[in-house]
Order: sequence, then structure tokens, then C-alpha cells
Amino acid sequence: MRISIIGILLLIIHAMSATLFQNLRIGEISPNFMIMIIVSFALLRGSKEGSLIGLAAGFLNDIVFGMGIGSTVFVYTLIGYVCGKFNKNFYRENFIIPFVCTLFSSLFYSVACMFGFFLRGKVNFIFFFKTIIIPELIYTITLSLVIYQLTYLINEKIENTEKKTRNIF
Amino acid sequence: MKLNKEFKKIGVVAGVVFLIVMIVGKRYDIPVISTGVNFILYPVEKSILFMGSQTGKMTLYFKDTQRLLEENELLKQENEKLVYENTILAEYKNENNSLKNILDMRQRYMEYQGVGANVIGKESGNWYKIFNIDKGTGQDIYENSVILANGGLVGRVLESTVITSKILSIIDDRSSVSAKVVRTGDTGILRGDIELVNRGLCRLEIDIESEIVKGDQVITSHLSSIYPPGIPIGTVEEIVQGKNGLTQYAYIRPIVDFKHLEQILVIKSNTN
Repeated sequence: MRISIIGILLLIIHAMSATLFQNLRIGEISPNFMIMIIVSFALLRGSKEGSLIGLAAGFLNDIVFGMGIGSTVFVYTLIGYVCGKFNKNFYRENFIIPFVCTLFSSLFYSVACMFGFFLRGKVNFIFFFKTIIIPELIYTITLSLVIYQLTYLINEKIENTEKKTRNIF
Repeated sequence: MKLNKEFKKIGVVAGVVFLIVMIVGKRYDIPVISTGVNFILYPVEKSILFMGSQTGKMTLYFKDTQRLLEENELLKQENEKLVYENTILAEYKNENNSLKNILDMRQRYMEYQGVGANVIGKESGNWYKIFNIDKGTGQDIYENSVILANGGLVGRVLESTVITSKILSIIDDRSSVSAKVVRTGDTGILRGDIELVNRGLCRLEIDIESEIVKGDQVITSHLSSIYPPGIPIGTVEEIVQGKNGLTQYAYIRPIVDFKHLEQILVIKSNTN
């Protein structure tokens, strides 16, 4: 139940960000919806599930758009795992921790991408930060407030049904 | 003293005769003195004139050389101008030939079987420009097939599955194409650049001595094993000197609008 819902959610988010959310680009910069989803679920469900969702999302991205499989998988899994560690220490109704976690996750993802450019000799550090990383960061953390509410609701529903099925058995 | 007295006498007589001749000449308008003088002067003048005429030819020779040199200068200038015009014409001829070749290529190119396809997804991130199309190995589209849109080069197939293919566009940072400037015939490497990607441009690295100007047409070169020669890529937008003084960079605006890319044409590669 949980696996299928989250899997479908990931697929929908991926398909949407490749097609419809292209229209959301502001100054050619699009937000990263995958990171929002991964961080939200990792915070709500713990590091085990977070890293699994990160793994799935990373594979999805690398298979469809990547040149080789691995880089995004690693980054997303790490984000899921680390954010999951905060699961026990915060209230779910709190806004601040998802906000801060998304901020650092997005920054980490962007820096990892930038590292790929460094390896190919593109070392214009200031340019990357000014035109790509900072705008993407701002866009992502702004939308993460909304996305966290949605994931919170979805998670609530799933947990309710799980409770019911547990009551039945 | 005796001589002195005689000299005085002769002098006085000569002076009186001279005065009389003068007065008579004056009186009756006879140019006595000038005639006498002329008799003396004539041979001198004649010889001087003769000498003058003879040397005059010499000076005329010098004058002529001067004139000829000037004329030569003018003719040289005219010749240079003509040579310049001739080279321009030769360039036009070359251009004409290459354009004809392109036309030929394109005609040849039409003989390759093209498959129309739609873009179904673009990379969601901000770093790379990869997109997916809705046809794959099922429609005989394999790796390194060439993609066109609006008659311009889009990129190549990176990977193809049964129903979809992944395409690397030429403005992606990882893409490089061997390109050729039509007018000058110089070849260079066309690379995508992350710093230009948002302006929709890509960068052509070319030799510093290439006389490339804004507005030059750029096509794929004959050197590539993936891209067939003669596919139009775009026009030169801006020229920047390289830092090392050995290369210059031309910013190329592709014919294809990558922002609004929807329909594309896939050329089936012959190798498969």
C-alpha cells in the first residue's frame, strides 16, 4: 500500500517536472520537486524509508535523463538518509525543520552537480552560485512549504489506513 | 707715357664715334648696338640653345621617368584593387560552390530516411539539456542517430530504448560537434557551454587566424563520424578572443529554438 502510493507519487512528480512544470521555470530556473518529496518523507518516516525513496528517485532521474547511473542516486540517497535522522527529534507540525533540511539538501545537490562541472574544467564558481544555485535554492525552499503540507496530508491518510488494516488483523 | 697719350687719343675718338653712332641710331631708330651685340651673341645663344636642346632631352627623360613612375603607381593601385575584387569574386565562387554543395548534401540528406518524432520530456534540472522523444529502437532509431528540427541540427541520440530515446542537444555542456564556417572554410569544435546555455547560445572554438565575422554561417564539418557533413547549425553572434592568444571563440546562435522544441526529425544512421 505505502510502497505503491509513494511509487506512483514519485512517478507522477517525475513526469510532471519533465513536462508540465517546465512552464514553471522563472529565468530558466526550475525548482527541484524531487528533493522536496524526499526530504518531506524522510522527515516524516525515518532514515530507512527516506533513503529508499531517495534511491528510487535517483534511479528514476539517472535512467531517464542521466548519462550514467550513480551520481544522482548517491546524492538523493544520502539526502534521504541524513534527513531521516531528524525524524525522532521534531514535531511534525513544525515548519522550520523541513524548511532548513530542504535548504541544505538543495545546496548539497547543487554543489554535487557543480562538482561534476569542476571535473570538466569549468570552475566559474561565482557564476554557478549567482545564476543557478541561489535562484534554484530560493525557488525550492519557497515551494517546499507547500509540498511539505501535501506530503504531511498524504502520510496521514496512509498511516490511518495502515492503522485500520492493523486493527482488522 | 707715350702709350698713355695714344690711349687717351684712341679712347676719346672711340668715345666720340660711339656717341655719334648712338645718337644716329637713336635718331633714325637703327638698332646699331643691339645688332652688333646680336652678331656677337647669336653664335653663343645658338650654341647655348643647341646645348639646351640636347640637354633638354635629358631633362625631359628625367621628367618622363617621374611621370611614368607616377602612372605606374596609379596602375599598381588599380591592379591591387582589381586583385582584391578578383579575390572577392573568387570567394563568391567558393561560397557559391560550397552553397551548391550544401544544397547537394541536403538533397542527399533527404535520401536518408527521416522519422518525425515529438519531444515528450525535458530535463527537470538546471544543469544539463537532455530531452526525451517518443520513438526508439522500435522505429529503427539507434544510438548516435542525428536529430534535426527546422532544418537545423539539434543533437544526437544518446541511448534508445524500445519506445523512447534520450537526446543530447548541442547546447548541453557535455556535447561537442565538429563544425565548419562556410565562408572561410575553417573547422572548429562547437561545444555547449553552461554559461551560455540560458541565452540559447553555444561556443565555437576556432583558430585565431580565422577571419570569422558576425553573421557567418556554421555547418557540420566533414570530420565527424556521427554527424553527416553540411547540416546547418547556426550563425555567428559574437566573437571573443581566447585568453591564450591561440584560439578565438565565436558564440553561435543555433537555428533551432531549444526552448520551444516540439517536433523533431530523426535521421537514421547508416552504420546500424
